[in-house]
Amino acid sequence: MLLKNAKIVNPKNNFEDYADLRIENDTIVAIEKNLQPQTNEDVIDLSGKIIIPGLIDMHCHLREPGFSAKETIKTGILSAINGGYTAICPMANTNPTVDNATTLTYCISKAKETAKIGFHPICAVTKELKGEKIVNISELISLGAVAFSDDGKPLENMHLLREALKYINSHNSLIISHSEDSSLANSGVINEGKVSTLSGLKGIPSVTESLAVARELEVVRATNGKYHFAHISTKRSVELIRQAKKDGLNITCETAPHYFSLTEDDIKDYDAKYKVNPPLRTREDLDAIVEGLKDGTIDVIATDHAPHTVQEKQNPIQQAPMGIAGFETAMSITLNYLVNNGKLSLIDAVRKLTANPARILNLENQGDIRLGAKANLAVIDLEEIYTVNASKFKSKCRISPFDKMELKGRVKMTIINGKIYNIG
Amino acid sequence: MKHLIDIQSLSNQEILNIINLAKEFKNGTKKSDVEKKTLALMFYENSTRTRCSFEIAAQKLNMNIINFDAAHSSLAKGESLKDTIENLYFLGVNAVVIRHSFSGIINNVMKQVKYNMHFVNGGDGTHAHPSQALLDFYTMLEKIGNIENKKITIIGDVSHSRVAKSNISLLSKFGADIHLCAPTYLQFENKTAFNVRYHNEVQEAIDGANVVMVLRVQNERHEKEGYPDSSEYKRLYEIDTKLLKKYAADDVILMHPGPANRNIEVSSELLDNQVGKTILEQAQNGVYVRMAILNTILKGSEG
Repeated sequence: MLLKNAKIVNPKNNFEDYADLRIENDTIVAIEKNLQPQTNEDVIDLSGKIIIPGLIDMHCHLREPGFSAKETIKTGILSAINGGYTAICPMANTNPTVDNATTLTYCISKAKETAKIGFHPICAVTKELKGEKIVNISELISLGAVAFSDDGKPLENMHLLREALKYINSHNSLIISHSEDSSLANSGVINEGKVSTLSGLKGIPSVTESLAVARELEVVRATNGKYHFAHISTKRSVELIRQAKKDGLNITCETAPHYFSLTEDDIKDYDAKYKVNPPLRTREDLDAIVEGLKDGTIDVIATDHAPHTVQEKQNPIQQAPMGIAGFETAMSITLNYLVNNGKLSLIDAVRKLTANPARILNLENQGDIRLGAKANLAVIDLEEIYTVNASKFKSKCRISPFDKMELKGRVKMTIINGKIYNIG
Repeated sequence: MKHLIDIQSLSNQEILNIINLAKEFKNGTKKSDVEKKTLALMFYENSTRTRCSFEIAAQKLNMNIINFDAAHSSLAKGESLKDTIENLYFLGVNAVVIRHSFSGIINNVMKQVKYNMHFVNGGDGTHAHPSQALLDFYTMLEKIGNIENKKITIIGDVSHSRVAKSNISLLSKFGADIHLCAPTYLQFENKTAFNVRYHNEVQEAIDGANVVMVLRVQNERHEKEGYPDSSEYKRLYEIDTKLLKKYAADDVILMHPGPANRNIEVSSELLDNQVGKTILEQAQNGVYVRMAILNTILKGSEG
C-alpha cells in the first residue's frame, strides 16, 4: 500500500517534509519522495493532508468491567480510533479494579477482540484504590501493565506513596499521580472563584491540586523516583513542576485539551457537561498551562477521556458525575487552541500527543514513523473546517462541552498495524 | 417576562414594573389578571414564610393552588424533576414555584422541559432568592424613597445566603452603596464577584448605614469543624439597639429575611421594638410583591 503526496510530520526525528510512504502488511517499508506504485499496489492520494504517528493516549477511562452503560472496552477503542489514536492506556478505576492478574488479562483479551490498537493498561497502585495495600507490581508488569495509578482518587498516605514509588521504580515502571487534596476538594462541583460564588456552586480551590503536587514532589525528591503528574490544571502546579524539573527531578506531566481550551467562564446553565475533575479553571490558569506546554514543562496532552451516560450528565450538576469524553475531539482542539493560533508549532503539538507519551511509557511500535516500524499512523487534514457533532461520537458518551463548536483541522484516517480506518 | 429565575436576567424597568404593580395590589386598585390559573408550590426545602406568602398571593389573585408534597412526591421515588414538571403541565398547572437545596436546579431543568411552563425561583441552594430581593427592595423604597447612594449593610452568613446574593444584584442595579460584614469563614470565596465593600468590624460596617440587613446565622454550620461556636459570632456581630443608635443613621431601617435567631445575630429586644417591626412589614409586603410576580409572568399566557 502506498500513501502518496502527504507531508510527513514525525516529532521523534524532527522530520517535517513531503514524502510518500509504503506499507507492506503491517510494516513501514519505504519513506521517500516520488515512490512509484508497484503492480497491484493500492495507492491512496493524501494530497493536502499530513501523516503523523498515531496518537497515544496515556490517560483514559473505558469503564469496563463494571460500568458498561457509560462505555465498554469496545466502544472506547472505536472512539479512540475515531480520534486518531493507535495506542491507549486505560486507567484502573473499574469494578473490579484493575489491580489483579485476572481483571488485567480480561481487559487485554477484550481489547484484542475489537482491534489491534496498542492497549497498555495502567494498573492500580493499591488494591481497590483504597490507598492501603500495594498491588503485585512485577506480576502485573509481566502481563502488560505500563504504569501504576489510583487515578480517580488521590494517594494521600505519604508513607505508602514513598514505599510504592521505590518499589515500582525498582521494576522500571512509574506512578501516575492524581494530585488532589481531598480535604480541600471538600465535595466541590466547579472551580472555586468568581463563577462558583456567583452561581452558588461549591468550589474546588486550585490549592487542592497544587498542595498535592508540592507534597508529592518532596516524596519524589527524597526517593529519586520516576513520577508522572496527570491532568495538571492550575498555574501554581505548572510553576512547581517547572522548578522541580530545573532541580533535576525525574518527573513528567500531562494536561488535557479542556484545560487549554475552556475556563470556568464557559460553564453555562448549570450544565454538567462542563463538570470535570480537576475542574475547568480560570483564564490565568489556562494561560499558564499554555506557557507550560510551550516551554516543555508539560510533556504530554492526554484526553482523560471519562465517559458517562447522557442521562447521568443531565442530572443536576451537583449530582452528575465528573468527566468529559475526550478521544474524538482531542486532535482538533489541540490544533485550534494551540497550533492554529500560533502558540505551539505543529510538530511540537504532535510530539505531546505521540513521541512524548511513547517515551515516558517505553511503548514499542508507537509514536514514530520509521522504516521497519509497525504502521501506526494518523492522517490529518489541517484545512478542513467542520462542526463537532457529539451525537455521532463512537463513544457511548454522546455529550461534550465541545459539541457544536466549529473547528479547523480534522482526523481523516487512523492506521493501526497497516489497517486503515477511514474517519470523517 | 415569563419566568423569575434570578435578578441578573431582569431589566431595571422590569423590576420597577413589579414594584409598581405590587403597590397597586397593596392599595387595592388592581384586580387579578390571572384568575383560575393554576400554581404549584414545589418546596423541596423547609420554608414557612416564602411558601405561605406565595400561597396567600395566589389566593388573593383567585388562582388555583396545588401544594405539592415534595417529601412524598414521585421525585422521592426517583422521578426526575423534568418529568414531574411535564406531568404537572399536562395536569393543567401553569406555573411552578420551586425551592430546592441545589443551586441552579431551575436553570438546568428549564432547558429540559419542552412545554410552556412558567418558572418561579423560590430559593435555590446558595444561588438566588429573587422574590425576597424584590420584596426587600419594595420595603426599602416604601421606607426611604430611593436607594441611590444609600448605605446598605448586610451582616452575617453572606457566603451561604441566596438572599444576600439576590439583594446585592438588585441593589447594585439601582446604585446603592453596599457593605458586607461577616467573619472570614462566612465571607464570599471570591471577593471580586460582587461590587461591594467588606468589613471585619460591625461598628465600621454600620457607620451611617441607612439600611441594616441582618442574615440568619445557621447554627448547624457553627457546629462544623473549622468554625468557632455561635457565641463567638454573637460576641462580635450581634445587632442591638445600642449599636444601631450609636453608629447607624437616625432613620435606619432594620431588615431580616427570617427566621431570626433571637439573641444571636439580632437582639430580642430590638426585634420586638418599633425598629424591629419593619421585619414584619417586610413579610407583609412579600404577599403583594409575589402577587405582582405571578400576575406579571402569567398575564396573557395560554391555558
